[in-house]
Amino acid sequence: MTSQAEEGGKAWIEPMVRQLARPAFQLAMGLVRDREAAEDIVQEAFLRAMQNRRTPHIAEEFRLWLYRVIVNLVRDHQRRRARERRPTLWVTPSTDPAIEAERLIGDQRLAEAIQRLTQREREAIQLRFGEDASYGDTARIMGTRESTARVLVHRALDKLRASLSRQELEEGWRIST
Amino acid sequence: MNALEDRVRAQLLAERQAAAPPPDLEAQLLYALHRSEVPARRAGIFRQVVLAAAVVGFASLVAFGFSRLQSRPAPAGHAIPTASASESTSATPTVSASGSVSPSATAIAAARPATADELTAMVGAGKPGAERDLGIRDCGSSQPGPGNDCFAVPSPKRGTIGTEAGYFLGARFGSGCWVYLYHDSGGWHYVNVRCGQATGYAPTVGADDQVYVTGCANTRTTPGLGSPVVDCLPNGTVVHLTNGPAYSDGKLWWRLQGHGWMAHDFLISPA
Repeated sequence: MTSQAEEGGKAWIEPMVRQLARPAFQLAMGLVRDREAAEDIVQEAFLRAMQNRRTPHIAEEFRLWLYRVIVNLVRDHQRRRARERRPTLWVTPSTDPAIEAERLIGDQRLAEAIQRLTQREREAIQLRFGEDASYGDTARIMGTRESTARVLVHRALDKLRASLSRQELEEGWRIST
Repeated sequence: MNALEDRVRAQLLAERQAAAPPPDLEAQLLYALHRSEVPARRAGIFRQVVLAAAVVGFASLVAFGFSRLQSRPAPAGHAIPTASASESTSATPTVSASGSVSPSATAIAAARPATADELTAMVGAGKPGAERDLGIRDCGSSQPGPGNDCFAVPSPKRGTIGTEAGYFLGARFGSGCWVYLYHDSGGWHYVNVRCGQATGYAPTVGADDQVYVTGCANTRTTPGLGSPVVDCLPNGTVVHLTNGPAYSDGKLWWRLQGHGWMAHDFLISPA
């Protein structure tokens, strides 16, 4: 099990980029919901991977490692964005048509309910159901314990269920009246 | 639960499909990666080797210094001697006292460990002079260490009493120190101090030492300038000390195995 980037300088990273760039972008996009930020995050993650001597070279190990970097970068991005937003006293609606379009994709109620989850719950949901990661891999990517990952996923599902039930009840009430 | 999970999966899948990556994503990434620098691995390995060597070296130094402090003799040394000639003519006693005690041959006692009271008195008399000569301050409650070159007396105190003279062990950062004193009716008086990590640079009973002299240094049958000369040992002669120190004629003296007594000044490295 080679875990040190010993040989080849930058050559080893190319097949990783070809194999993982798109899924990595989709993961970042799912978490950050901003195309530009997602591109920056993916680029930064690959750069860190290439420059870190401890980056694993085995594809599967590398994928987990890369995703973990992406999750950390997304957290940094969200923190920065939260700081920038703090002084604002009103909410500015998004002007990015892509974001607005994505909000309407698929099950809109569910999409909105997912966005109301906490950052960590969204990460857990994205990894577990978006990436089909096991609880073990979800925990590794999030940098937490497996039991914590399970709790986060179950709590998120509970919240989604509650949110959807309430919305559907309200809608049913509106229709019936 | 499964229905909700399936619904979540379907939703996330739909979002993923909608969030199509830029068509040239890989090309952009590869371009950015090729422009960036990969840290030189050789430098990393070299740095680690140097760091490991430094750690091992420092540990060895500490262990060696510690063993010197714990075990015994001679600290000291550095420079090549510039010393005097023969003790009977040009050696200048470093002893400042005027009162001279000249023990007869029969009055010479065998060296013995100093008692606690004697050590307290010796340290009290010798420490200020040692700190002054070494140009360092008292450690107080601290310990000598990197960035803190000060003078301390390790606990438990260690010292040896000869004949109206003695020495005790001190320490500064990186080396042990021997502080030499003589005794008269006024109590203990500081003579000099030497610090070092190797043997052979300062005299202690039971250890080897080296002669520092230009020409040769006399050895005598008993401590004192009036005693018959037995031998004259050239610079660099390695000698084994069996007794001492003895204070006589304003000097400290040491008994050398097979050679008689030699003045302290020729057995201590130049400061």
